[in-house]
Amino acid sequence: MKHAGMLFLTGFVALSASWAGFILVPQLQIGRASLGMVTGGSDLYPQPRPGLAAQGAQVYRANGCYHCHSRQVRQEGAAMDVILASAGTNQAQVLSAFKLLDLSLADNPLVGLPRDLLVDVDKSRADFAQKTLEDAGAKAMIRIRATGSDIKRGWGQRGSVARDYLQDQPILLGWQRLGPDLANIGVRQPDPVWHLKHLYAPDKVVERSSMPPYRFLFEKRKIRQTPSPDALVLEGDLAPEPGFEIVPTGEAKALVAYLLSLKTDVPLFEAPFSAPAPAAVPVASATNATPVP
Amino acid sequence: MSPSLQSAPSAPESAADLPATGIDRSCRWPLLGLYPGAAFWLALSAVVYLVASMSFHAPALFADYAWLSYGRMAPVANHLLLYGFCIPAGWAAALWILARLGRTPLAQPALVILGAKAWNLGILVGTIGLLAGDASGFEHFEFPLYAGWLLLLASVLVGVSGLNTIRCRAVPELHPAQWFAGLSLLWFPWIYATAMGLLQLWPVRGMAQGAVHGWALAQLQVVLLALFGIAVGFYFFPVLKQKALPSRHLALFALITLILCGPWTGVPLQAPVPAWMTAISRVMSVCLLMPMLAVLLNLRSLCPVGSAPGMEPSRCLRFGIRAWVLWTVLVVVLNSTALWKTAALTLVQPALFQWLVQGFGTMVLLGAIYLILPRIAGASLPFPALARIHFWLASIGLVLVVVPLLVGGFQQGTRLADARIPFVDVAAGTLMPIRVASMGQLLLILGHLLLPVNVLVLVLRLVRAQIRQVIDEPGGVPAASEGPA
Repeated sequence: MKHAGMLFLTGFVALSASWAGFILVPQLQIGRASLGMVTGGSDLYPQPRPGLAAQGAQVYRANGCYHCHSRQVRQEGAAMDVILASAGTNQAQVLSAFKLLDLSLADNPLVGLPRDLLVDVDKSRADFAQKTLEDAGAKAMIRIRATGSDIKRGWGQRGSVARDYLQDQPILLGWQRLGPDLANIGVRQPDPVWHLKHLYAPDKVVERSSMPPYRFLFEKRKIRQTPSPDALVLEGDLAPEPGFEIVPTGEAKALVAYLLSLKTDVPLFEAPFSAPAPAAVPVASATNATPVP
Repeated sequence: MSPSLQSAPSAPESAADLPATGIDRSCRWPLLGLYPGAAFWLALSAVVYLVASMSFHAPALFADYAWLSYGRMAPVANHLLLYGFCIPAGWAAALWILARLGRTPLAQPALVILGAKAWNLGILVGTIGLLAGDASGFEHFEFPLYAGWLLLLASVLVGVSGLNTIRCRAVPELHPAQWFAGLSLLWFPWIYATAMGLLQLWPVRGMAQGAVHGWALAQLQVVLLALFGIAVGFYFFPVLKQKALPSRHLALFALITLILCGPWTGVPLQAPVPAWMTAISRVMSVCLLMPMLAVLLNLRSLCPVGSAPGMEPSRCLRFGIRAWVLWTVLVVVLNSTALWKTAALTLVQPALFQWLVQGFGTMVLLGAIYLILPRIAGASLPFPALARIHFWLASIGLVLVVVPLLVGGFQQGTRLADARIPFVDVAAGTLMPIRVASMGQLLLILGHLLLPVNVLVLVLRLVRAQIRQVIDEPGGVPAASEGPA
């Protein structure tokens, strides 16, 4: 490469190639994604965050919460369970279907329905079992469970997908887990008072917590005629001196509203899961792709 | 600096038409516009890193001060390091290399001086913005828009001067170091404009932001730093060894593989993006082996050794290139095995960042500063011993920062993967590595504080000499330099 023109042409081509590949194509693929339908329902997802929560997202951003907390649940795979909902009318045929499926159950398999027939099987076996049982007149359904350590920790029922972030600007994914994942903190901890107290004195709420207190989000002020209804109820050495109260600022309230709005607990087409326990009278699913919530 | 180094016919500098001193003089004030700011921001970043880590020693220490909280201090430290030091120091080295190898004085030096002012103002405004809570929310691209405009303007000013220096070159054939230096000037405005535009000005929707962010991150850390580092390596290794660069073809291979593969490596592997993106990112990360091996093969026979005066900064260069090799090997191992699952979302990430930016970028550019400063000043460093101490403090400090974070990060990842271990225990396990890293940070502070001492005293001496000359011979052109101290 002797000439400057050639050099800059090479640089331009390399930059443009990666620009097209990692900026233009993702923009076409996910930047234009529309809101999705929640599986088994008619709600659009994700909904924009309500006003106060939207303000809270900016508090989360301004204070760099994303430097310690991720907002993405990792999923390793999916496991399927086959549930027998009802045996139908021809019990003999259902029992022969059991034989076909190589199921040996000690007690009478047709009492105490609904019951789990197969646990932790792959999709082809689950599909085959469901079809065989339904051909025999029984009603069977498949439960889909996401797997992985994040799911086991209770950080979410499914892995995060691109659609979860459609309403967020900035997306605040986080790059470290010095604190727990917050993708579903609104589901795990729906109590605003808990959150306020936790922001004020984390180690008093969560034992051995290493999170720094965010006292600058609170205001200590003199009680006027009546105490503020928002004032934190604090005991022991946290309590302010008599005549004073600790009141959350608008920023603290907005941040808590944002944390409560962090929920990715709905099944989507690209991220299916079934409710953990079958409903009392389960309905067989029409297709295997559509899990029953 | 030893006179033999300056006068000996070294490969890229041999048979200079224009005396090197004239070229160096043209670079003096532009580069001394960039270097003092860079030196100051580097020292400040080391201090801010320590302040940020205090939140892990005593969580309640800054509970009443928003601007001192970890979430604001950490980005300030990262930005001062990356934008405050690495980029202006890289440009300074690139401009000087372009002028030296083109055997032409630096074109439009006033633009560089102006650019340096705009850049430092941008860093100052951006830092205040971060402290005030105006972070954009995208790691390493967190400066608010109003600071971004200044940075963009500065990068264009510096870039114009550099590209004109290439245009005015007296040697038609470009040396490989000029390829890397020239492209490094072109790179930043494009990536920063893209990041500013698509993340803040007209933000794209949802995870498309994650894609833009990943692209810009890789461009900034993997490509831009490597362009700086390899330019410095390809220039100084042959000069110090007084041999020619063995192969232009290998250098071309390194350049093309770097700029073709590097930009695709930034998507975090666990991110909720379409699977093809993470797959490409993994493959391209493994491909980083190609530029690394090509550079290594080219520089293998040129490793400058010896402790002759003037050779000491080559320690920084050697450390830097080795750090880059090690970083590449780590990234390749992580991406070609299942280890990335353990490393994702843990302290391994800041460890890799520190190792790349401080171990490779900062070290190579420090070596370049200590080699370039005496040349543009026409005088030896005021305190050469401090430069030596700086290297030892910085390298030992850096190892003490990175190794605990790396080990702690893998432990954290292993524990995160085991859902039976409660999260408070996982989080508590990260405290000790961070606290040990603070010890290394102390050494880094001590080391990095020595650079501004050398730079400022040198600038003061030059200013004094200039004033004396103006007084002695009014109307006369100031002489080239004062003699070595």
